Amino acid sequence: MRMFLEPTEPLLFRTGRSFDAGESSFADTLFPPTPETLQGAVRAAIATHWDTSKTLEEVFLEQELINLIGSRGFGYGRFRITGLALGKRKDDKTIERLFRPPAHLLIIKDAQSNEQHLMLLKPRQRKGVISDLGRGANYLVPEYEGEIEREPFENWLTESGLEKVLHNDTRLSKDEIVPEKDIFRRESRLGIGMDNATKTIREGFLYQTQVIRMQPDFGFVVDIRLSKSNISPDLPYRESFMDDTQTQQELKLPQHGWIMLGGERRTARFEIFPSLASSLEQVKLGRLLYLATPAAFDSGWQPLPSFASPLAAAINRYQSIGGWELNPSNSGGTNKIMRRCVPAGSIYFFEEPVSATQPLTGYGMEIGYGIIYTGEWKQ
Amino acid sequence: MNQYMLMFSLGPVQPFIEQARKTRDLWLGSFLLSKLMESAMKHVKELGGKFVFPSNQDVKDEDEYANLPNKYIAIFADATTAEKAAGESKKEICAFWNALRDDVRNEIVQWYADEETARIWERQSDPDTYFEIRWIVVEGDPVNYEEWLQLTEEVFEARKRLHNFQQREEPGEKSTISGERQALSRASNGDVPDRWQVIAFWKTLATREGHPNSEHYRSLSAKEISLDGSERLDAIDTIKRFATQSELIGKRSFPSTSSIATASFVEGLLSSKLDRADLQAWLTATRGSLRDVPDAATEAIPFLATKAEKTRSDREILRRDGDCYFRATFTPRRLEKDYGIDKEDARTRAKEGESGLERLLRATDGAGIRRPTPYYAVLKMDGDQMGKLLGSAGSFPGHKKLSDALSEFTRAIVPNLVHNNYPGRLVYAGGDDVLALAPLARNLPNDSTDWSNMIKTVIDLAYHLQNDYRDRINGALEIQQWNATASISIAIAHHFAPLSYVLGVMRRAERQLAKKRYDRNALVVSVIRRSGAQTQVGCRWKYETLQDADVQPITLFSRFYDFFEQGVLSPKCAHILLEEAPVLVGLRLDAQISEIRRVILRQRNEVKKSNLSDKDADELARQLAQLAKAMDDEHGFTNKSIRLEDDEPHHGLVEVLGWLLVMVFLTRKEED
Repeated sequence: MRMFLEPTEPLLFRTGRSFDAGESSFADTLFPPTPETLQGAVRAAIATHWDTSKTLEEVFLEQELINLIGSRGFGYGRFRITGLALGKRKDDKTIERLFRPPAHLLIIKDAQSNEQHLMLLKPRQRKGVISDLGRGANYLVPEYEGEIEREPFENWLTESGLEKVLHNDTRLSKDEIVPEKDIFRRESRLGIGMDNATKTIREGFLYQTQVIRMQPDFGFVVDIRLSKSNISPDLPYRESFMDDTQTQQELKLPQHGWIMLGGERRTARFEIFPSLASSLEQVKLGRLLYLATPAAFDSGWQPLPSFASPLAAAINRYQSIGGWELNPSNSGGTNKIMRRCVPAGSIYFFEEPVSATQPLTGYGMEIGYGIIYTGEWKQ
Repeated sequence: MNQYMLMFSLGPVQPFIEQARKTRDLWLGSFLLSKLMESAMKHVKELGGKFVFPSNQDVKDEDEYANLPNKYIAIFADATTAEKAAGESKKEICAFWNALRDDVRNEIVQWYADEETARIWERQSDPDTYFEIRWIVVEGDPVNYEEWLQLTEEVFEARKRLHNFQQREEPGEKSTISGERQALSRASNGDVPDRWQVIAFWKTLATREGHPNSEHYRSLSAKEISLDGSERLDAIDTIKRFATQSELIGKRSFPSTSSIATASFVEGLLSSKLDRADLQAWLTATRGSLRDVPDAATEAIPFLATKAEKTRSDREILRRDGDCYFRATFTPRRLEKDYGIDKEDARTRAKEGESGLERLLRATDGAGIRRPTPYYAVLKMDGDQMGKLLGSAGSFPGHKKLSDALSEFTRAIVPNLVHNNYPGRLVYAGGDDVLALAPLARNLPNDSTDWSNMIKTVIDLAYHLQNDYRDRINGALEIQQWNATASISIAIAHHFAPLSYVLGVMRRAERQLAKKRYDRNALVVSVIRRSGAQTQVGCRWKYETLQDADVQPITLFSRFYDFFEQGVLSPKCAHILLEEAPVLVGLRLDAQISEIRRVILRQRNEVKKSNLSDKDADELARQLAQLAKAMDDEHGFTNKSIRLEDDEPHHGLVEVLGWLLVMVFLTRKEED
């Protein structure tokens, strides 16, 4: 089941810094929201629509719901997020997913002709080079003739654009590249705390927030599956899902509805679509792994010990992801553990083909961490 | 015979510096990185390494700004020694950091720490997991030095594409500065919410209530850390905030954003002959904790320290924070929270402060000094295409000569401009980078006569910095095959705006606008208003198609600054033209000139008509239109916006008029 969340208000996705009245007067926003934020919003929306005559606190006492989506302190039940991306509603009303660019994609500008083109980096050993990575390490050095300037590729890619890049093809059409400014804008909001008793402003309570205003037709795409009930833990991840045509019905979700998203409970409209068979999601062997969402590993940047050892990797600085464990009975809660995550867009190169049968992460596999797609770098 | 080039870098630079709440955090973060690099380079020469970059390997302590880059390059005769030197560098960094963190822990945290505090401290400040130390050694033939250097740069870039890290899980309440690491605290008492416990922990650390050696260890000052537990730091933030408690760094002071914003007003104050009683009333009202305790505070802005005569009252002025020039400071709440004044005294002190300030401001109004602005500027300069520039040096001696030139620029030219010719303060000047804080514009009494050769505004300061960089570096290039240029990003912000946000805006503008949109050799200014609204303008330093030097952007905009500042032209002029811009851009050049001229003449102050004749107005209108056309022609933007507030490339005329708005802002004729 695919859920498209289309914001109707500017959004605030808080960082880990406190934003308490009279203490801290500024709240910055993240973008895109982390898997923690999106899973929380979606599960809360499912619970809200489960029985509209009850409060959230009351519905989370129902065992049937807890079995499906879990609850605070009881895991995620049978709920699984299998895809997280930005999305755009196209003219034909279908939804196109957008992905972070892979970290091994560069823009190359010829210094003489000023012509620009894209280049994919490949791992290579360099004779006469030693580094803190040890002897015999592979390096992602651009290979070119003549004088060039290079810069990171920072636009987002459509699904077909991403597939091309993951398969060594940099001939992207204009439609396959989406600049960030077409997706959202940052805005500032200024406010002041009020004294409810006297209806006057409170001294020292002026505050500012940064918010994200999504451009019309842009939003978030969440792919949701439910695992079969009472399955053996040995069953391969993808085989553990129940038939997707039943997901929406099981979750009692209407075709359209409203969802609260991010800080200050901003609204978005959701719409359910059937999950389409996507070439990206098909289990294929490949010598390259792309992380579509952040992943947290006990060993830092290195994938799980049970996984093949990469030849090289293109990884931007780690992203710290935590969150807030909301208590459904009041607005309180507690801080979640903050982990250093390998950011979305990271690439691992392998000598031999590997397959992506399940998310690659040591934490949060059920809620959209570590979603991977395979590709190729050799040829 | 082949040799071995070692390239070594220390990080993380951006988070270490920019996770800052106070200017002091920013500056100490930067200064600490320089000190760590100084340690890293300590044994390189002993091991037979020849430094290529940087030219100096010591922090110039007396200037009190960070002046070593986070990277060094040295050449060795064999690979083993090069590798050993990298290992020694890492060892020295860890040794310095460990000594520093021990000092800070012992002085600030230890007396109230328990085992949980110790665990958090160790986990977060362990140099092996916190610092990002990367190095490579590349074999090469010195005869083909250019090729060797290029390969080394490329492999080093490739090495940096893998940001390897170790996992660290951070539970519980997070630091109010970094927001990503747990705030220091004691073991949790399950009965009380985490946040309350962490607040209580930090309140105790700050006030030192119950310290076993309370005679010696009095409460920390509210300027150092909030006394009410509203600042809750992790180990890294704590080490940065209190590094001056260690003898390795020593007592130093750095001006606050308020002090930077008001530095020009203070310059005016020091240059005027006010009635002593007016000044004394304010000095008395701002006694006690409103007077900065460390005597070193008077040296925080070197230009003012030099300007202050050795009279007691001048030195006393410099012992006040810039906050003391704003009415908003004199409320009981602010005095309690930020200055630790008792609740009982706060009301009286607030009234006293307000009336003392009012008296001072009336006196400075009379002397023709503009009232203090709450806005200040952060300026960041970055040499363009450094890799190519170094490559163009061609040989080891050529590269060394460039390193020497960079060193002279950052150690002599930059401090001379920022500290001796403008009331600014350097945070960092090393390699090809400069980071400085500065007031928007000078503010001198009516009777001052020495305006002619003065650096009047932060824009003027930026122009001098890039000009001197270009002259010095191009002078060091043996073959003129490369033209060294620099780009600058300036963020102008309210002194209450969160520093990390301001730095983020400035950095994004540098990367997205100065380097990309304007294709380097450019200046970008972001005005961040208190409301959060932003105005961003940019231009190249020079437009090749313009023959007349007076039409080049900074010269022309500075002329407008003078007209606005002297009250010859009304600020309305910029607003009216910007409103008309959507129509103006569609007109022929002569029609544009005619309308701009009409607005200039209409907004001219008739009393000061002699300063701006009809002919001058004609010339100004023509120059603005010409510059706008040159921008359109040379930028070559395809989709141009007619609205200044759009985050898109602008029409040349919109950009030029946006610049006039910035000039108005610098004069503060338009109250925000």
